[in-house]
Amino acid sequence: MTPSDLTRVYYQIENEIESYRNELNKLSVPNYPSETCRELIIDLFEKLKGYEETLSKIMEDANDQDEKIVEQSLQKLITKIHIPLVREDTKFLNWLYKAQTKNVPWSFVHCVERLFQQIVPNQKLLIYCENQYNYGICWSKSETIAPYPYYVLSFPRLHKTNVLWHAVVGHEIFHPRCSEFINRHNQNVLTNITGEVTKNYEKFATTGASENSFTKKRDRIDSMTNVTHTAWCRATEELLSDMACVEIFGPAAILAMKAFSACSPKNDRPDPDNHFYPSWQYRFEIVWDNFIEDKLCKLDHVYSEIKNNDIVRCFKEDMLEIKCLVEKKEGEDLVKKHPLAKIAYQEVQNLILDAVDFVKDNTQDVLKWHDEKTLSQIPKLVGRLENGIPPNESVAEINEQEGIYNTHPAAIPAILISGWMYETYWQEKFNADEADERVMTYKTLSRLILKACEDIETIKKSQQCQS
Amino acid sequence: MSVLTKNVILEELQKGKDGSGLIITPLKISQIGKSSVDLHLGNEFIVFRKVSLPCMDIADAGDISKNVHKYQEKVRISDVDKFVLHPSQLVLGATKEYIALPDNISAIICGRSTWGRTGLIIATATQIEPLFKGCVTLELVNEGEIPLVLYPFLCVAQLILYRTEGKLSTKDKSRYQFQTGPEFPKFEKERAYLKLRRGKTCKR
Repeated sequence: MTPSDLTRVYYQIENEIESYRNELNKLSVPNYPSETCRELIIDLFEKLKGYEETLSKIMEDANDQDEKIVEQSLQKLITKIHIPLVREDTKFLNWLYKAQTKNVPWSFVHCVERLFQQIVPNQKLLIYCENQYNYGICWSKSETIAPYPYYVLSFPRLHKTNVLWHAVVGHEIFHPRCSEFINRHNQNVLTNITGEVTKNYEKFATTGASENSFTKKRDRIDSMTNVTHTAWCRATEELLSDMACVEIFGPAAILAMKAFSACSPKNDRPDPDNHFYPSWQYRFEIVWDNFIEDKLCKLDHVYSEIKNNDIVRCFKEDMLEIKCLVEKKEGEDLVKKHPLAKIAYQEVQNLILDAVDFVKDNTQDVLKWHDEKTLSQIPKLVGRLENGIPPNESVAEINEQEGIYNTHPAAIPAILISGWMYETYWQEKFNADEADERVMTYKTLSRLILKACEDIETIKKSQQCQS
Repeated sequence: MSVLTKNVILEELQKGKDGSGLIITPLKISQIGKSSVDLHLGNEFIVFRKVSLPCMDIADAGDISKNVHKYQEKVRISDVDKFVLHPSQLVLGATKEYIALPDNISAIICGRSTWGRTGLIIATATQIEPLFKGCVTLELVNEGEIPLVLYPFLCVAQLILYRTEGKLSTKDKSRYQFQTGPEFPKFEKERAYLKLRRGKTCKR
């Protein structure tokens, strides 16, 4: 290692910092749907400043011909600046590019940020569209660039404006809360899993002479316990997130999950190939049994208030279809087919009531689909959609004599449920070859719902200003 | 033709509360004047990409419609951002408010004199027909000599509502229905006319 090697790396890193700054400058120009991206850009500029200071400090310290010092300085340059910059920080450039207003469902961004703040307070959420057929959320300690981490939520790019599906973001934004539940029960579950795996080892083990040695057996049990434990963690996280999504958005969440999963097999059994991921069928069963079934009667009053009986009929038929699907309990049977999945999912089942309570406790601050305020808005919003009006507000009082015009901004679960109610009706109209120009297109429906999401922020802001 | 006054506008809004009559949303009572409703500028604009549009010829309207993104770009700015409109520049904007007119009410959209004095023209096609539903596209032109800075929510237009006489068919709908922001131009009618003209020319 020579001083010239160090100098070469120094110039390379200086160039990387400069290039990064140029990219950030370019990304400062476009429009973003919320302030989060601008704040992130400022934080990243700050981080670059930190890198520059570190760079100068390391080079000052390395002002020596001693090979050992040169070697140490080189290592510092690589680990403290080069690796975090090229491996972690560059991800943000990609996310920022994809988070520009033109690249995201901008009308919906504020609603998601608001919801996220209620579930994961005092954290930042960056929303972007990814070129994949999935919703996702990620965060990690290594991505911490400010006193707080930025959580990064992605929407599927090709479904950017397919707002009815976006009810599933309720699932994604609950992921960060799941570790609390998992940590709380981890030790007990691990003990139970170890016990079950040991008890059933003989059944799982493949025959073979070498397997009989004590060490081999212990290693195999450890390995199977780890796999089963990971399966439990995975299943618990997914199911908790599903539960939260359905607790907030109710039927809109179920219908969105159903629509999103329409192109995937419903009955994939959890096994090592799919990381013991719960099947869609099982997920529907869990959320239906614990969050929908007993609250569905709350919709009876909503149905009676909706003027178009066909809309009610179509929606009821769709809900009934899901009910029939979950009553088969095929998902529950599937998890028993793999011996390790059976153990992991038994632990999930044992904790299901705790999980339900945990979800309810952690969504207390959120306006939910079964709240009276939400339910009372749905019939009016359905009426608006039917007439080609954005379901953005429910007009409470108009008094022409006294010049009063009072409205309430619609709740997001009410907007999405009314949207789904209209969608089920729309499906029937289009499928029955009855389509005529009186029935709006799906694109128009999505557009009106997005406009409603945008408007509720305007109405809220204007009411805050007035008060 | 009788222009609707504040009381009548509120009466019509009351009738249309369920979504079937006059709707102007979102709306605050302070927007309703003696015989007009103030409208705000929305967040979206359509700007022409001059470098890739040689000229606008409706004879090529098919190509223009297909490649509309090549010629025009939708820009969305946030509530606090600026949009600078340069002298002689035309951009399309839209009202923040979504409007639905019943079959017996028509409307005219016009600029506000405050903005007129700066050279801002907000609409050239000012007539809104009964049964229209959507945000109204504004053709924003800066006729002044200095650049104008526009912000979303600026009160740039007024809606004057009046009653129409006679019955309308529900089929008589605008080609720009349900728009929630500025819309790219559609030239179907013009193209049909052009086809007709060409047909006649050939016969001669």
